[in-house]
Amino acid sequence: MAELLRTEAATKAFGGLVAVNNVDMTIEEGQILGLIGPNGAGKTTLFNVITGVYPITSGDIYFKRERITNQPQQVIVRQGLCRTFQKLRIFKNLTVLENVLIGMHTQSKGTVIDALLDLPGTQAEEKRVREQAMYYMDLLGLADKADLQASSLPYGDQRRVEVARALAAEPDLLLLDEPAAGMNVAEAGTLTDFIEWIRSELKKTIFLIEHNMRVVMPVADYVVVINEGKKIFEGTPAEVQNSMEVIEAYLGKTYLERMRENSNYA
Amino acid sequence: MKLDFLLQQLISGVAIGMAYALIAIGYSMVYGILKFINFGHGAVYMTGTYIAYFLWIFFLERMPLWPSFILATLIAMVGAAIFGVLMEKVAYKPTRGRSRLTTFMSSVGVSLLITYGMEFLVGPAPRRTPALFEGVKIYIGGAVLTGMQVFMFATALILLLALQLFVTKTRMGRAMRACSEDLGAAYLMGVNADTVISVTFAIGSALGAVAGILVGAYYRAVYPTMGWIAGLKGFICAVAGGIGSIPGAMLGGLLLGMGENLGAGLVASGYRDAIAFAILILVMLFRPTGIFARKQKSSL
Amino acid sequence: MKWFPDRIRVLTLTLVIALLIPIFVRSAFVLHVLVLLGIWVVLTVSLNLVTGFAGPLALGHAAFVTIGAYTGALLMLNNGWSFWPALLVGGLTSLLSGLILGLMALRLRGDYLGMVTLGFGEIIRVVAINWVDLTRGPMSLPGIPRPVIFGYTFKGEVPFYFLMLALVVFTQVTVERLLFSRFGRACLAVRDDVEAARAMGVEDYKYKVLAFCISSGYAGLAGVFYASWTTLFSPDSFTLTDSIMISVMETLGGIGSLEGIIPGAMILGALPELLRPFTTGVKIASLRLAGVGLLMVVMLIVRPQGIAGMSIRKAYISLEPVRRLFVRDQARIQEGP
Repeated sequence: MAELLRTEAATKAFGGLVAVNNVDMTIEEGQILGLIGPNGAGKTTLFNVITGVYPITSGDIYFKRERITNQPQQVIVRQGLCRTFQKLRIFKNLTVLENVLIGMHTQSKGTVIDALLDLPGTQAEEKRVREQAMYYMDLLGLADKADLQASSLPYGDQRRVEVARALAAEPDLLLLDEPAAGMNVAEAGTLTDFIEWIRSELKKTIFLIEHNMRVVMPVADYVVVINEGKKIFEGTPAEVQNSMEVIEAYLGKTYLERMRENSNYA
Repeated sequence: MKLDFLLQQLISGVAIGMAYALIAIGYSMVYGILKFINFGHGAVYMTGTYIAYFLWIFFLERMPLWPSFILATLIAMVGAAIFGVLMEKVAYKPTRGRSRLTTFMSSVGVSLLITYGMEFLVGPAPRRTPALFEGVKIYIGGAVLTGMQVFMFATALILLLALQLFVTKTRMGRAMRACSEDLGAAYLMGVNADTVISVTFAIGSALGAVAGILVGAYYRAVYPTMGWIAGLKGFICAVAGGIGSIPGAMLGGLLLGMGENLGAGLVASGYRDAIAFAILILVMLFRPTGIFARKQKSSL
Repeated sequence: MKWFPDRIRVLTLTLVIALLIPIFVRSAFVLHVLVLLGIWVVLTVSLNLVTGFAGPLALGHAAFVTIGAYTGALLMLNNGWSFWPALLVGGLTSLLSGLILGLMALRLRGDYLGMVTLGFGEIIRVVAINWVDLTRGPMSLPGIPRPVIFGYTFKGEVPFYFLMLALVVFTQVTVERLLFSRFGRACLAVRDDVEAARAMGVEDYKYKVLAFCISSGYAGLAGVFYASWTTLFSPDSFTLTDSIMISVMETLGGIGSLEGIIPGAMILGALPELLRPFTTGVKIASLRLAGVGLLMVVMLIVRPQGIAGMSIRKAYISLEPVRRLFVRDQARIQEGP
């Protein structure tokens, strides 16, 4: 399997606070990699460093074997890396369709001049783009809500808009930041299936931050555990389960017990 | 001959620059705590000036020149302070929770309201101020240093030093500094944010009034729209020197005063204001946090 | 989405009324006011591209009007150009100036951006007053010719009114085309949430600058029209307070298109003009500006949404359905079973 994403000694410090500390990890093409760890461990910060939201303090990031460290977000997206946000960041004042259309920004063409002249070529492109957008909305069950304002939707649907939008950017690597937040058991189950579907049908690699063990453990091929900015363990879900003792040493009994409760899916 | 000309420009620049510094203080302090540009400051400056002017004329009929000037200025300082505090309570406090943009636009509205309200009341024609230092001059080489310039410089310097002392040595001054570091933390420490904010506006407005009457006496004229450009220039000084910093305001004032005079002298006097704004744009481009930058914010 | 048919109806109705006005209204004065209204509308509509990240702060926009007006006027007066090429070059000059200012200013945050655009506006005004060799300074440029097309001169109020109407329609149509495109969506995304836009690959700075200079281009066009209409242009024709007025109209109008802007523009622009014959000039000018200031403060305090708020958005909720109606639409997507 080819290496898709690799971080090398990735470190991010905010003044004296080291949020991400010397993290080495690799994601292979076609993998679903889960990133777990307690709140405040630095998981989202790692995402932010990878996607170019925060400048890295030291270390490097490689995407498709090319160095992308500190490249601007917009450039990274074009190379095939797209993310969702932990706290939803959909375009509240735009419709669902418009949200997804913006997701397609990097996958479409059209300049100011094209807009003004409105030539047949431009119109054809608009049509194609819209059909693509409808496809993604359909995938997420949002087709009938296309013209509704995003902020008027229930939370669950808003989450779906965020995912549809990210998919529309047609990334090779999809970064999902706590996609199961706020979901109930049934929804979490559907999500797990959907994540697997994205990997196998849409041929994407997925990097997933998640607290909900019911979602991560069944679907992830490989899991990385982070605590206080450092990687403390990595392995298959089974290995992670079995090394609970190691994890307990870092995370404490309470967290361990909660993890055990949540992961009683077997 | 050229050297004398330069010297003259510098002298005028330093004098007017100190007045600008007094105006800049108002912007700087307010920005330091509330993090927005108080566009209405220029209007308060103008109002304070008019209060001083009318009182001065009134007192002149009963008292000699200097006592009437001083009394008028002192009363105007109080008046301007009250006016500034009122302005804050009425127009800014209600928008405090919202974006800086909203408050800024509100301040633009306030500025319009006060400036043109005043113009409506007193008419747009400039009024002549009495002369303070008739004929007092010192000759330095081929340049002239007038008594008014020295007075303006000295007064502003004394006030700025007094302010610096106030801010560093008094309890209220410490509270003000705490608020401009971190308003939320200061509040949690028991500092009454509202009081501090009021004091900030009061001081800024009072100093603005002094600046205004000094400028008015210097140029021998007051007019309703004087706050417009003077306010903008005060802002430029505050930014150039480092917003939130008192020494910065002074440095910015000197810089702008000298810069625009030199530029105006070199190009043509009518371009003075344009040069001031060009300085603003240059500062924004190359050193947006100013010379004595207090805080490094990631996106200005 | 039931209100969008109303929007089409309102716009069409407005257009029809506008076309019929000269038949019923004979007063040259009222027509004059309507032409001025048209100028304000063009300025405000074009500013929509920029609202949200710079609209309320485009405090220097009068400068672009001035630049366009002087360019066009000087080309017509000194070089004997006809109106139409002068119009084009005037617009382009303003667009380029907008590009320069935009590149410099649009990296700055909110209120700082406002001050820099304001500063720019003042620089232009001062230059216009002082560069007497070029602009005749305060003596202004008189005798600016009216447009001529195929030998017909748009001399009177009525013909110019229709010309103005054409400009307004042109602005509305082109701005809508821009907004309903990939470009427009990018601008709206940047308006809505910059970080999210960046995360989707939108180069926000690029779009901000583009939108800004396009809107300044429109301002230039408006300027040339204005200069030709009043046949006179001076550095005081369009000043800082006018820039502020535009931004207030923008906020008052709320909805970013004609039906929102016309009431706003009318109250702020036309009313004082209409009152002019009944009151002495200067006092009215002061009162009007003071009134605008008061209005701004009240509006900002009372409107909970703030400036680039919900109501500006409302017009663009219906991006898709309106587009399907306005533009010949082959993109009719089959909404599946």
